[in-house]
Amino acid sequence: MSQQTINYQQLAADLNAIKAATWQQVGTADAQYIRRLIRWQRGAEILGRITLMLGFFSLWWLLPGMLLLAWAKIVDNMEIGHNVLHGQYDWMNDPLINSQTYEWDIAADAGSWRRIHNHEHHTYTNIIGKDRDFGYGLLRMSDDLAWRPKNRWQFITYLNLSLLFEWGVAYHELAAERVFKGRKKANRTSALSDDALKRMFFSKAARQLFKDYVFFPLLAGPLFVPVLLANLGANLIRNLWTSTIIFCGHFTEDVQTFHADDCANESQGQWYHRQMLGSSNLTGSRWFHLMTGHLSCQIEHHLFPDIPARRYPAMAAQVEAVANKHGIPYNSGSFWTQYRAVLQRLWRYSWPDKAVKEPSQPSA
Amino acid sequence: MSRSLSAKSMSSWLSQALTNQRRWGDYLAPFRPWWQPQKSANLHGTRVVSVRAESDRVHTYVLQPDRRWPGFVAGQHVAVQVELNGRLYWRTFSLSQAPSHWQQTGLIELTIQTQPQGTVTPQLPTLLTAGSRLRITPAHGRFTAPKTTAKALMIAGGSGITPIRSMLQQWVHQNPTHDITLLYYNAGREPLFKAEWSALEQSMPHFRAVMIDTETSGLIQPQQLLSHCPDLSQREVFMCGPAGMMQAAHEQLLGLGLDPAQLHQESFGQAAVIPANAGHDGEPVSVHFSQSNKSINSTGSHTLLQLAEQADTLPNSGCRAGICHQCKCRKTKGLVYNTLTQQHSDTGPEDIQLCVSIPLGPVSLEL
Repeated sequence: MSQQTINYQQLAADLNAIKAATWQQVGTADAQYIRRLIRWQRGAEILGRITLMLGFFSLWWLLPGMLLLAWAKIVDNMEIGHNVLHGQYDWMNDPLINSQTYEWDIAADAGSWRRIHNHEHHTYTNIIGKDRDFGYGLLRMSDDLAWRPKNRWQFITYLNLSLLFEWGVAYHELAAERVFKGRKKANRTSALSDDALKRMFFSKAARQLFKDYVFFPLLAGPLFVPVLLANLGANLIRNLWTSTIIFCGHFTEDVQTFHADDCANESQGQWYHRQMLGSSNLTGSRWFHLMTGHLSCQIEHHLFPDIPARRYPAMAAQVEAVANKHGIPYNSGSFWTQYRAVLQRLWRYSWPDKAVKEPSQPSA
Repeated sequence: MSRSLSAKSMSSWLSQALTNQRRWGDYLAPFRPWWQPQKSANLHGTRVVSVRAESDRVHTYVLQPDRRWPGFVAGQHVAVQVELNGRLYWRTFSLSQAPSHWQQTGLIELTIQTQPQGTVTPQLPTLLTAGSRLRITPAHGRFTAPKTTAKALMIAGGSGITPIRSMLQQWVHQNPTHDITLLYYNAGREPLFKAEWSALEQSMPHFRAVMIDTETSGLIQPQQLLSHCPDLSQREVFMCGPAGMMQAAHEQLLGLGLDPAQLHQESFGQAAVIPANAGHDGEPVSVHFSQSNKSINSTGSHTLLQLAEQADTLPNSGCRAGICHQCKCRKTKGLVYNTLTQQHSDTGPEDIQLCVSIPLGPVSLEL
């Protein structure tokens, strides 16, 4: 195993140097970028809602309206919401672009999501049993979990999860099994009661449903059903896109998993190492990176979750050089290559471990 | 929806449902110029009309606040918001001219001394030139001139003269016969507004201005106070200056038999010396939690998260290593050291991660 030969102290020093050099550059350009992007996103959202109303003249208007709205939702969720909620722009000291106050256009309420995601998923990345994002409790994505007959249909489960992703995330990040079924985690301190969490979940969900499926359709009067369907379409497009990007970041073929005792009392260098093994990158154009909220640079995001994400592509080359220096695999590829790897992994773990090795199995 | 039908809460619910913002204005705020805040923010857009150099390190900025700005009482201050390298900073400065001047011209003045070690003030002369914009709050502060004509002693140190200049300019119009003694302390520097003091002595027969250079006459001391103002115990005392000087003056005046009710003061700057790195073993520092109204003293290098937990203020916490931002909390004032970034914080309001922050002086948290 290469783990034995890695100089963790040196690894931490190398990555901390990249981090410090990047923080030195963060400033006016980043503040202008996020403010400009918020203007574009809100502009697209308003224009999208107006374009849907043009359906009075021709139903063809519903298509560009739906796409504009989907774009606005994706950018709000990925490049703005996700990154602001990580605290990447808190240094601006701007109360409207702040991880503690930002709310996004998605079913999960920002506060609950931030509390669980940043803590469990980013601290305990890919540790089986601690990072509940690994498979979302629905999918078997590694042989750490014993095969069960229901895994045979997990490809279909995956498609459903992708389409309904925002609701899956909202329910899951709420730590629903804790809140609704009363299972407690010992290591967690929270000032919030389960009732408060439930109230936040339902009130956010109600607001989202009201907006897309009651208010704007009613505003369209006779176009109630077409506008409702276009809003539904925009939400589904967003769900598919976000779920696909996120699966490409953590569930490609070579991404590794960990056990709690591997990681007890780990040093910063070991934590960095685990983040690099537990993530994979997508290559693409500037626009592609923006649309993924720079989760296309999942490795850099996991190493430096609170650096403004637009800095990740520039950091990626340096991180890859550090990975090569220390002999750590750096998992990067085009969208289609990585997505195929996700589907292969999904397929592989649909079946009992030995079955996949038999040549007769259609192992995709 | 049945729990509240008031128009305001309906509007707020609708704004949250449709825009995910508590206020409609917040959704459209990014489309405004940054210096022109929406009404609900209780901030005011302000234009720099001109800049006057008072000395090599003191500048007076003549500003025109928007029409909604509510005015002030002599002695009050405003907080100013400026953007430096993408980050918003708040700094508080006293208004240095009379309210009547604002009523007549719509202009206010801020006289600001460059702090050589400061983050913001060294940038201001290049950042704020005629025509540039900034945001200010309404005026605040209880260090104000009373309406009575009781005899007064004014003690100023360095740029602490600014609110006192505002009071004097107000009095020269309202009550030129007012009996006032000004003791103005400077450490080896020319007094600010030097020409104005002799002009004031001309127009106010009972006004005396004494300039004291602490490098030749020594720091403030009781005998010196008495020699310049023998009847000081019969006067209302207004004083403004660096925290250390104010503390000394306060103790000395009480020692001379003045009643605490006679003393009105304002101080600025850090009283304590800032340690170069984290973990101080000296004086305990107090941490105040404003929402739970609790305080705790810290000696040694405990993090604010540990202190908040000791004080039983129920902070949120997660990774306890600065990764998850779950414990992030608003600091309203005070200096902290971030063990992760190895940086000192700003002294003003901002959000900090409790689990990696160590207080270096008195700190107030919204917790």
